[in-house]
Amino acid sequence: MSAEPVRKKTFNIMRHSRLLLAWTVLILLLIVFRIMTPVAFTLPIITATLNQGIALSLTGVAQTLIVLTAGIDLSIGAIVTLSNTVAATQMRPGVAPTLGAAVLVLLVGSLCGFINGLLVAYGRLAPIIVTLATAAIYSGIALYVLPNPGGFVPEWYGDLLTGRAFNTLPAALIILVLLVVLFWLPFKRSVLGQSIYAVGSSESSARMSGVNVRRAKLLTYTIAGTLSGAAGLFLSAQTLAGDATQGGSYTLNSIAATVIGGTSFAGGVGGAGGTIVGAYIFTIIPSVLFAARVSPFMKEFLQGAILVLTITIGAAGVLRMKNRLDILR
Amino acid sequence: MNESNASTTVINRLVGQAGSNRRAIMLAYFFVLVLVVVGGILAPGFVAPASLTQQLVLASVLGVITIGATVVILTGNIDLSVSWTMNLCSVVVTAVTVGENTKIVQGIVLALAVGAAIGLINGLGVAYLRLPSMVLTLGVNGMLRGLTLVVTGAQPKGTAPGILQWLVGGRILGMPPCVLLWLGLGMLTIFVLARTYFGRTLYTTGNSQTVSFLSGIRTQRTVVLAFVISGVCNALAGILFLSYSGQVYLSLGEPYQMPAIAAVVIGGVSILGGSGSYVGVIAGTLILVLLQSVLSLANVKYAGQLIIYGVAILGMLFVYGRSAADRE
Repeated sequence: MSAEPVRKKTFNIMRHSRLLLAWTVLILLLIVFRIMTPVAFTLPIITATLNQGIALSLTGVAQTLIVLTAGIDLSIGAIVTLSNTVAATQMRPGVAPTLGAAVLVLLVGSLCGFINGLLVAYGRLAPIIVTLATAAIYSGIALYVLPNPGGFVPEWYGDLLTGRAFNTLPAALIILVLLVVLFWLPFKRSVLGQSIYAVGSSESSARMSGVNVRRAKLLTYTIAGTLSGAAGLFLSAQTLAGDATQGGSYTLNSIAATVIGGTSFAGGVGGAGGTIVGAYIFTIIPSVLFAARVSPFMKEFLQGAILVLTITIGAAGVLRMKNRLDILR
Repeated sequence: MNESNASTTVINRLVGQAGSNRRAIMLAYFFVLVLVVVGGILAPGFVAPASLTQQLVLASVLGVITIGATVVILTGNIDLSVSWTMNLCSVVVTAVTVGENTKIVQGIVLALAVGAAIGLINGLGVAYLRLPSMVLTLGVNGMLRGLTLVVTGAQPKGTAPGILQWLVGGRILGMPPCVLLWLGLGMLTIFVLARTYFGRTLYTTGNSQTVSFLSGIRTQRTVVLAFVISGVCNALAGILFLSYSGQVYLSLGEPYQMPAIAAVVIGGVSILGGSGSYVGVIAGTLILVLLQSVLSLANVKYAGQLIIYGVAILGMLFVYGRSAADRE
C-alpha cells in the first residue's frame, strides 16, 4: 500500500478535476434534458434512462481496467455478444436453471478475458492486435452458438434486472451502487488495483518494484471479461432474446465512456467512477436529442464530438508548455 | 556462415535498412501461395487468370487503405477514421458528379481534398495537441458518420458516373487500372519508405519520438503528413469502392477498417511502430482477401470464417517471432 505520511485528508480539486468535469457535463445534460422534456425526472423515465446506461457502464469499467494498464481491449463487444447468445440458449424457465446459466455466462466471459490476458501478458503480443483477433473469434463462436436471433430469456429475469424494487428503487441503480461500492472502491485499494495503476504508469518501474506485471495483466483482462459477461447478461434482460449481431458497438463505446470519464490512454490515470459518468453522458445524448427533436443522425456526430472535445480539453495543458521538450513527456 | 541468398538481397533492397521483419515478409508471401494453391484445389477455376484478377481487384480497395495505414502505424499511431472517410468521400464524388461523367475530375479532386483535410485534422491533433491517435480518430470517425448521415439523410442515393467503371472493368496491359493503381502506389510507398528522408523520419518517429525530436527531426510534421497521406488513401479507397459497386452504400467502409490494420500487422509491420515494410503489407492484404475467398469456396459458414480469420492473425503473429513485442 502507499506509504503516505499521515495528513489530513483534504479533497484536492485538481486531482479529481477530470471526474468533476465529467460530473458537471452530466448534470448540465440532465438539466437540458429536463428542460426539453418535463417528464424527464419521472420514475419510469429515470428507470429507463438508468437501464440504457448499465451495459455501457459495465463494459466501460471493463475497458477502463485495461486502459489503466496502458492496454486496450477491442474484443469487449464480442464478449458481450457471446455472453448474450450463451444466455439466450442456456436459460430455462425455472429459477435455478436461469441462475446457473447466468453463472455459466460469467464464466464464459471470464474465460474470454483470460485468453486475452494470456496472449497479452504471457504471449507478449500487442493488446490491440490480440484483441482484434480474439474479437473475431468470439464473434464467430457467438454466431455458432446462436445463428439466428432468438433463444429464450425468462420474463421474470428481464423484469428483475430492468425493473424497480418495491416499485420505487430502480434495479439499475442498485447494480451501479454495487458496482462502485462492492467492486470498484475495494478493488482500487487492493494490491491488484494498485498494481494496475503502477503497471500503466510505468511498466518497467512496476516490474522493478516487485509487481508481478504478467499476473496483474492476466487478472485485469480476466476481470474485464467477467464484467463484459455481466453486461451481456444485462443485455439479455433488456432484449429478452439473444442476437449474435448485437453487441459489437460496445467495444468503441466503452472506449468513449472511458475517455469521457477522464481515464488517460497513456495508462495509470483515471478510474471506474468517471467511466460510469462518461457512460451516462454518452447514453443520455440520444435521449436529449430526441427530446429536443433534433435529427437522430446528429447523435453519432455529437457523441464523436464529445469524445474529441474531452481529449482536447484534457490536452489543454499542452499549450501551456514552456519547454518544447515537455511536449514529448 | 555467409548466406548471400539471392532472395534475401532483393528483399534487402526493397525493405531498406529500417529493421524490417524479413522472416515475416517471406512467410506472408508463402501463405499467399498456399492460399492460391488451396483455392485451386477446391475449385480449379479459382486459379484462372480472370478469377485471380478479380481477387486483385478486391484487394486493391483494401490495398490502398493499407498504404495509409502502414504510414500511420509506422509512426506509432493508428487511424480509425478509415470507414467514414471512405464513405463521406464516395458521397462527395456522387454528389458532385450526380451520376454524369462531365464533372468526374472535380469530383475526384474534391473527394481527395476532403480526405486530405480529414487527415490534416487528425494529424494536427495528434502531433501538436498530443491527443491519443486511437481516441481522436475514433471521435472523428463518429463525427464523420453523423455528418454523412445528415448530409445524405441516411438515404444511400447517388450513383457513380459510368466512367469510374473503367477503373475496374477496363484493361491496361491486361490488368484492371485499379490494380495497377494500387501496385503503382505500393511501389512508390516502398521506395519512399526505404529510400527517402521522409521515409526514414517515419521510422525514427515511430521508434522513439523523443530521440528523433532531439536529433532535429521535425517529428510533428512527419506525423501530420502521415495522417494526411492516410486520409487521401482512404478517400481514394472510397472512390475505388464506388467504381466497383456503382453506387453509394451506408457503412460501406466498415468491413475495411479493422482488416486494414490486420493486413498491416500480418505484413510484418510492428503495431507499436518503428519497423516494417510495405512489401509485407501487400502480402498481408492478399492473404486477407484470398482467405475470405477460399473460405467461401470451401463453403465455410460466416461464423467459421470469423473464427479462422482471428486464429490466422494470431497464428501468424506467433510464427513471425516476437521481436517486436520483445522490445517492450
